[in-house]
Amino acid sequence: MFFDKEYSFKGKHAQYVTELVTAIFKRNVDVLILAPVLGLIYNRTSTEDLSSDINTKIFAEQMVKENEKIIFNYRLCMLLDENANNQTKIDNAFRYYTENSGDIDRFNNNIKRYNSYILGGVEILYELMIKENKSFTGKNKDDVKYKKEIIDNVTEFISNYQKDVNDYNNIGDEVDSLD
Amino acid sequence: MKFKKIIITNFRQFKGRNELNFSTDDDKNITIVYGGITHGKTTLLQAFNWVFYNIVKLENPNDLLNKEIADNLGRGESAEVEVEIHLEFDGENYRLIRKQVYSVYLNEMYGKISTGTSLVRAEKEQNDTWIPAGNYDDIINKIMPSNLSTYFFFDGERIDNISEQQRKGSKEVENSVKEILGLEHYSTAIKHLSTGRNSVLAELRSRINTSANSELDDLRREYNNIDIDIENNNDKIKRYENEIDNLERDKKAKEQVILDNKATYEKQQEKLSLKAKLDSIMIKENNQIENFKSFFNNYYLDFFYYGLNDKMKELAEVLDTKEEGIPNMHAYSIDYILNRGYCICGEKFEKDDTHYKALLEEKKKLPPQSIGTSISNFNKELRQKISEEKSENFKTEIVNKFENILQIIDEKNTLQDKIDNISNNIATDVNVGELENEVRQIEIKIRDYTEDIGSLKGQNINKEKRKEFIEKEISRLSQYDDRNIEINKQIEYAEKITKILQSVYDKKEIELRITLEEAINKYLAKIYTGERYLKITDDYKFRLVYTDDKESEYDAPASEGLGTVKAISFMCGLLDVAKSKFLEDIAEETEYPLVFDAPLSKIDSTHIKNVMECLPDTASQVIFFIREEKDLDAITDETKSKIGKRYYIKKVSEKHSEIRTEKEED
Repeated sequence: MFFDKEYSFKGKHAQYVTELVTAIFKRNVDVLILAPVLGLIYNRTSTEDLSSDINTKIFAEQMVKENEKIIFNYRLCMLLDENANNQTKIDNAFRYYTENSGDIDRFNNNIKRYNSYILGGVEILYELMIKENKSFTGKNKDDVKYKKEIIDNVTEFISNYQKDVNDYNNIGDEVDSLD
Repeated sequence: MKFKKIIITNFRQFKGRNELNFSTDDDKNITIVYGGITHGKTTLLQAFNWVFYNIVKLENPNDLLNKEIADNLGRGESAEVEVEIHLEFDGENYRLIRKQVYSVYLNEMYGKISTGTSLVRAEKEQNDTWIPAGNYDDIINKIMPSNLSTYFFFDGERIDNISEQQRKGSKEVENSVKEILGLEHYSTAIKHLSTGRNSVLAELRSRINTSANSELDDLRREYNNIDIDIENNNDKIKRYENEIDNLERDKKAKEQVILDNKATYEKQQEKLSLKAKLDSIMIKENNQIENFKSFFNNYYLDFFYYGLNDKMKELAEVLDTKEEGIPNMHAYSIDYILNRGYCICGEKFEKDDTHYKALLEEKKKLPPQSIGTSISNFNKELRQKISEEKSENFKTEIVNKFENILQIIDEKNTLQDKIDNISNNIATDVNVGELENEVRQIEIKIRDYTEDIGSLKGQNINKEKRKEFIEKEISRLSQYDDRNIEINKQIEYAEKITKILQSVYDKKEIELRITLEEAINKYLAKIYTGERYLKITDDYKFRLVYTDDKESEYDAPASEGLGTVKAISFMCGLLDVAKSKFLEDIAEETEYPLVFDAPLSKIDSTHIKNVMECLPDTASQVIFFIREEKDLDAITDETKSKIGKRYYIKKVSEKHSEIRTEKEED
């Protein structure tokens, strides 16, 4: 099963995750938990970056420990994925989330879709929490100035979050109404 | 006696020929020479010492040749240092000349300057020509013996010795006082008779024949051993006293640095306390940031899930999708049908045919594979997770924590600014706290040495007593030998003379001290405006006490300036006593000039005025070296009118000063 195996961020996403963990998150797995939620909300997906060898891992042990949260978010992604009818969404969310579901291809597709939300979410987190601080990249994470800039960004992100989401949804609605 | 002029050529920084004519007018007997620090006032005074006594109390006393001239001296070239002084003594005009040649020899390395020949000449004026006056040293001894010179050529260093209460200082003063006032002969005689292993008494005692009596022999041996012990103890005492002197000097230097940096010290202390505060604020800041991060990591989902709120309708719709499983049927029922190979309608089927697959699809909709429970659980969980309250709480908490951090950062920056500000105002890196600690350590060492000295002296007293006892025993036991009886008589005789000399010396010494004390206080009262009395202690320490409490054990508080006033009073008093007791022997009615290089800038203007008015009366002529014209601002017109001549030392470079008659701005 995907949810109890080692997970690897690759390429630029690995770099983003590493920086996010340096800046604010406790563990890589925290990024993995939060990212798909934001990917969903901002409707942002992405594909694995294979342009470099950089990677950062989450060990199976941690995946197992956080398994409930991760599966919950997987289900959210499946249920809100726009490219399917309701029955398919339900099946993907609650049946085809394991290799043992009898349809391995379908499962792999679902995971790929879910992963695209994770990667999209990582990008969003990086853009909103870190991007202003590019100059600090690789700097001593104990540097108080760096820490202050980060919590500045995080607080700003949090303060504006609800408004951002509303604005985003409204634009989405407007775009929809244009169809 | 009066100085008429001095001509100084290439003596230290006085490059070329420098001539100073002193005022010899009885009514205007003051000559003033102005010169800043390092301009050459002290050197000028030493020119007097050199021409008279071949003594130079300066660093590198053998390098007298002007440095600029020395530096430009080529191989095979020579240059001369010369000081010539003209004076009037006992109605006759004399001139004293001392010359020293410096050469760079042809076979020497470039720059190596050797001291060549030196010569002195004393001449007398007769019918407008200079004729030899006789042996130089004899003439000097007649005019001004060297033991008086330090009091007539008076330098600032001397003032420090008198004003300081250091052992070395008071010992030196004690010796000079006794020497000048004629007590020296007594002390020399007493020493010759009784002190040490080479004295008359020691010699006599060693002559007593002890070989006939083993008891006597033992006593003699013990006596000799005690003598050696006492000598060793005295050596130790001397060494410890030297140590103490060195420590005192070190301590004084450190205390001066502490004093100079007192203000800095206070700033350093303030900076330290602000730094400690800053450290604790920085820890607090770090803790708050960690707390912020930790809170974020624990509850981020509470917050971010709420962003899905708008999608709840859509989710509900999806989750509502009904699955139409056959009521009350279990997946096992389908398995049973699949196993038996025909449907409930009786139709047969094969594995993987359409009928078979349709049955499998139907099975998924039945328990336990049914996902109804999962969906309803998920639904429940979803409603818990997407909570406005949780989200708002998180946001409020995060913003609070953030503001808290900002406030701490603000505090931190203010503190940092304060510290930077202090740092900019602290001029030196001198660590006053450390110095104070060092001073305490030195004090402990001094105390230890003092205690050691005390115990050694105590030991010596006991040993002397034992010696006395042994002496008596030896004399008693040796009565049976004629020769010894003779020697014992001689010993008795020497002891008696010593005793008489000692009592005369003691009496004279006390008299002298009282006379000196009176004379000094006469001047102190004239010069000093406050209520102080100068007391000379048994060990020649000069203590300032309150006039109305002369027997006090404690010194009255004294400023640095008062130390100078004290020294000047001492000098005037000593001159007075010396004149009345001793100078009469040298030349009838002789008055001596005073060449005075005193740190007048250390004392305030009122006292300068008093000093200036007092000194011309004590001497036939006064030559003052003064730092700045304003030092004399306070003196009265009457005193001013006594100034006959003024000179200015102009510092051309570090190696070159000139004496000028006009003041020239630097």
